[in-house]
Amino acid sequence: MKIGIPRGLGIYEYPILFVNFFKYLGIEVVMSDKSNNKILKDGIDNSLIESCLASKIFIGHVANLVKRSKEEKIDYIFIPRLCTFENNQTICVKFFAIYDICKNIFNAKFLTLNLDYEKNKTELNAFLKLGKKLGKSKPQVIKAYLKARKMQKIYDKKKYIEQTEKILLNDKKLKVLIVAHPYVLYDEILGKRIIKILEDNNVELIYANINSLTMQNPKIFKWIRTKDSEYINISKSIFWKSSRNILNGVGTNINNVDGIIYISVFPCGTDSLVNELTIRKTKNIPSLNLVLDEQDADVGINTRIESFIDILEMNKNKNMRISG
Amino acid sequence: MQNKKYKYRVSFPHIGNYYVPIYNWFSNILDKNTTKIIIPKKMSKQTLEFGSNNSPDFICLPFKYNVGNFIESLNQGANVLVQAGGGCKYGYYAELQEQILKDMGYDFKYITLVEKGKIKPFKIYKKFKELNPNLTFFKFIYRFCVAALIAYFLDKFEDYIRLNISYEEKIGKFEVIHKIFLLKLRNIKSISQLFKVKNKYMKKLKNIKLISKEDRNEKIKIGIIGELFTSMEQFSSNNIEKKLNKLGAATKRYTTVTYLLVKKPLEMKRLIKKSKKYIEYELGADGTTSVAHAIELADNGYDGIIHIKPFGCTPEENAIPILQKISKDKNIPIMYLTFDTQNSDTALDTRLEAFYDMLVMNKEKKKVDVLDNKEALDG
Repeated sequence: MKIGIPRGLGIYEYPILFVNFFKYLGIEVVMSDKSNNKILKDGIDNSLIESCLASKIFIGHVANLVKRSKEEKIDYIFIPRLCTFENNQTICVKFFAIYDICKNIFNAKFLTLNLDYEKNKTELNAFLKLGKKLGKSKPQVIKAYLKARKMQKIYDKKKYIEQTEKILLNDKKLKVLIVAHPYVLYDEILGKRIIKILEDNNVELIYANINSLTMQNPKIFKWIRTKDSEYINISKSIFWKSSRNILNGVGTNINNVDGIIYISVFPCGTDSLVNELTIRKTKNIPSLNLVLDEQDADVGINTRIESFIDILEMNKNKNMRISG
Repeated sequence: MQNKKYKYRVSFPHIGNYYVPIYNWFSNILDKNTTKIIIPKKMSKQTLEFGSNNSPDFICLPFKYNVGNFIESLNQGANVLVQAGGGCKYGYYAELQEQILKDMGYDFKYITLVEKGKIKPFKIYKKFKELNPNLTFFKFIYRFCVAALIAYFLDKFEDYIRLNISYEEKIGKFEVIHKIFLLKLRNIKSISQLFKVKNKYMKKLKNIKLISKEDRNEKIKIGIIGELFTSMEQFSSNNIEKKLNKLGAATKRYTTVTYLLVKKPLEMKRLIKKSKKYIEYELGADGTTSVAHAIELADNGYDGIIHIKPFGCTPEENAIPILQKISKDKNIPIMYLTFDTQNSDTALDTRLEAFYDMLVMNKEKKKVDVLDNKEALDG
């Protein structure tokens, strides 16, 4: 059996977990091509004009897999449906529906994982249901899930330790906090493009989505309560999982950085609310709000980032002069 | 200002005609000597301007209207603002709105009825008790029930009007009764009084002469589905229902407060089962109901469907690709309208007229087809 996984949206929530789960079950996994202009174009053609850029790119990835499915004999295309999480957390409603949308747009076989704590109680139950559809026995599925979960945790921890070391190193480089959802940040034509520009400008990057909250394992029992974390200083009522993780990163790193860059896609509903609130609550730190859409020229973004970095450098020199 | 003599000036955002039950509820649980309830100004271009100037760019439209309402009320002297909450982004409105208005320099107390998607009656009661120390929990709940009943009857009343307004013999009678009914409902004191008023006006409403049944069948029937705010707050959708009625179409709309709070949670499973062919899971907020209702309307022989949503409404965006498929499968025309801060009446008029004309032509064509078939059978 062969399963195709599109690189986008929900996959970035737990990339290692999803891929390894199938691998441990003995199923071959094919990823869609990395985001490129062709995929973006396919996505735009197949989706509604008003939907957000990230979802358009996702649909482009699915189209890519559908095209390849005949040649490479892909049996199913895997689209996780994320809905509710522990502690009354939820996620943007696009994730609720993306599986059903793809099912209606494309003529292909789809496979889903319904991650809905209100209905399934735990993550394991959702995976068991998926395993049943694949025709695997329960012990097999549990073993594969636990192993894949562990891999995900090791991966997250490694990243987290790397980042804390980076923060602790008292480098003379400018430190900038990148605030973006993982599916924007790790996309070739969205986040990675901007990261490249920033790295060319010799800036130390700290990612808000890597923090102590993101590496927590999901709870096995419903009644275990997790402690409130740093996000509470910025927003009390935040209930989107992805945004909460990012805000936690903002809350923990805010004293270690010189500036914040928000990257969001047009028209992201959650970001429009949460980023606005964060900018209003962290007024003493310079921030840059980048909203990406389909017709972005690199030059425009380049200019904005360069001038932002110039401001940060001027600020830093000023502070050094005052303190020195 | 005369407002100064009241310690608390309470205000809330507009949504359709539901200011009536909300006003009734607040006026009965709060002390009349210390509190004044400010009904926000009627929605206008000014409201939207205030709202869109002070909100994030691409947030969904209801947020902007809410902010506009609040600013207008605060300018009138309000110092206590009440906001509800709900699914999707609505649950997060409260926190950001409070921050925006505080940043603008207003001083006020902010009450949210729904916290983290859950309604906790005792917590809300405590918040209102701060405004009125004499309030008992029983009275608080009882008055809420009365207000809910008012909303229920109001919905029923308006449902009847929507269905029949284009059938009335003398145009304008429905509107007059509707306006009087709204005024009477505002000052209801008890449940028995409510029933009396409701019975009286329902009777009056049903006594209005309608055109004959044959003529009624000739009229075009259009179902309106979509997002809740644009459906219920007619100003935000440029009075689309009235416009359709003026063209001569009867409209049906499912979304009312009663439907959202009571009926929808109960029939959610049934709706998903019904639309099994198209969706497996919930689409979030009103997306699922839009899909299920489109199927229902198509099966019930409606001539056309209009799907409305404000700009930036993700759940309805989710529903559109599926609606497009339903439209193809069931052969029913669906028009998609998106409302934003810049709406011109003329553009909407043209589109509605074109859609209406197309439906009329469709209907005539169907009739001719039926006749042809008959002749063919006879021959």
